[in-house]
Amino acid sequence: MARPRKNKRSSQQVGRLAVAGDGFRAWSRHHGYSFFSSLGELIRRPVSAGMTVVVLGLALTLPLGLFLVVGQISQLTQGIDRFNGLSVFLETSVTEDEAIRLSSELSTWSEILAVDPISPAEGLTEALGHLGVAGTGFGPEDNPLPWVLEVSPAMEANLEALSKRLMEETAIEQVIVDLAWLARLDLLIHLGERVVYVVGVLLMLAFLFVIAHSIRMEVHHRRHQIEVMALVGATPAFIRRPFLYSGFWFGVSAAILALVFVVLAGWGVSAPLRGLADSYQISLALNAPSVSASLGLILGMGCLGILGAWVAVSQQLSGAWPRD
Amino acid sequence: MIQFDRVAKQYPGTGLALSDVSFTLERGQMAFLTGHSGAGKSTLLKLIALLERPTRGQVLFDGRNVAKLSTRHVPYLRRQIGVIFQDHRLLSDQRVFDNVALPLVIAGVSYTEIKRRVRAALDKVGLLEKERLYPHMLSGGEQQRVGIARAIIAKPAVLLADEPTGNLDPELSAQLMQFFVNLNELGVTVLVASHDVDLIARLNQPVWVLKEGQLTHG
Repeated sequence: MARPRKNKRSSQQVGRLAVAGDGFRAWSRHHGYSFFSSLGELIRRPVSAGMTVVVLGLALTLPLGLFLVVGQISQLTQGIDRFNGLSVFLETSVTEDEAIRLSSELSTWSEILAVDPISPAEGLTEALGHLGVAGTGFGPEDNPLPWVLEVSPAMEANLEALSKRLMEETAIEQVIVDLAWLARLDLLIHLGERVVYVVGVLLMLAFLFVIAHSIRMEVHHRRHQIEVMALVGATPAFIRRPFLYSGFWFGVSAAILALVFVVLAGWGVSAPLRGLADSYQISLALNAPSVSASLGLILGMGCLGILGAWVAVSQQLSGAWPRD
Repeated sequence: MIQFDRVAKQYPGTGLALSDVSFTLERGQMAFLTGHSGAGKSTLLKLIALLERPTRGQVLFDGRNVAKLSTRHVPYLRRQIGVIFQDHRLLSDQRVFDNVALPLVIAGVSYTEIKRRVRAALDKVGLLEKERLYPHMLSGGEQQRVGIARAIIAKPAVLLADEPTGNLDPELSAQLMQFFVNLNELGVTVLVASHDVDLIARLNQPVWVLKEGQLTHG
């Protein structure tokens, strides 16, 4: 063993180091250390880290996929041309003149915005078109349809009261408020969205606890290392930081994996989905989330990972400091 | 530098490890602490480094009562103390270089500075060519020297050693003790616990004896 040089140093000089690295540069060096040491830990144990990431990724894929499907369907229904009004069927005996006169009279009502009269002939053409049997040779004299007035109510109008008032007109046979099925569809979509949120929240919790559990195991695994670090003067923050980074890496890589899974799932169902959509003459596809949504997801899951790690580490580290 | 005033330490469920210990170790002083195993040598060192808190009495470090030190400040106290353990306490999954560098990494020293000082410290303990090895590839004596390099790398004001010669041969033990004496000559306050009475006697330094939880100055 070599002998240290024998120049006598003042005792003040000794121990000066404790403050030598303070400030922002020391802080950034600490972060650099945590950044690389946490990555190193994950790479050193690729199988267990990989399995955790896959479990997390799968837990994220389900709510993410559901969210995209529901979003797609709700967008689709918004595209449906909504006639947001009342269909007023007149008596079959009503003539064209009477129908036009009634229609202009109704349009003066304060609760009505506009009235659009549809002649029996127009109605028949439209109906046959819908049924896919256009041009089957119905003549005007065979037309069983009455005149119909499509009434757009004013915004503030009470539809029920308006339809009652309309029924009092002798020429009007029936008033149909044609919104029920759309309203039901809206409710269904709303329910679907709720289900996605509930499933999402539950799986987020699972996500949080899987990360917390993994970090807990890691802290346990590195108990000795933590004790040694505390012994040579590491602060709790310094010891905690690499684990928080690990949580962040878990979250980020799980989010990326979930995005990959969703895109693959989208490809998997694209052919039958396109077939279905074509048969309804609509466009429907399971689109990948946008770039900004993906980045948001990745960052959000990273933060969730930090939170999970924090919970696990704070609860485990107390043993490294003196017992009273 | 270090002052014990009627210190007692009792572990739950056992008798008193230390019953009534008072001493003062001045800044830049060196002393050996001896006594048969179980006499409380390790406990005394642990109280200084705040690995334990005293049950009774006061431990002053640089004039401050360490018992009143909040947990938040404990790390900064420990950075002023280098501790050498009989069981080395090295990180088995990190290379010799990283083990020695740990106190500097914790202090936030730049990498170039760390590299320079770790090399210097390893050179001092004669392990420069082993910096890339892992602790389990080294002999017991070499592991002990890695622990020593780690303890002195941050130039602590105080060096504590708990049975540092525990499993070294007599020649290496003598070299190691002389190394501590030389460090002390550089201004470091040194307290070494050892039961190697013959070796200690040759070094011409104060020897304190712990017996039944009490300290007598030899």
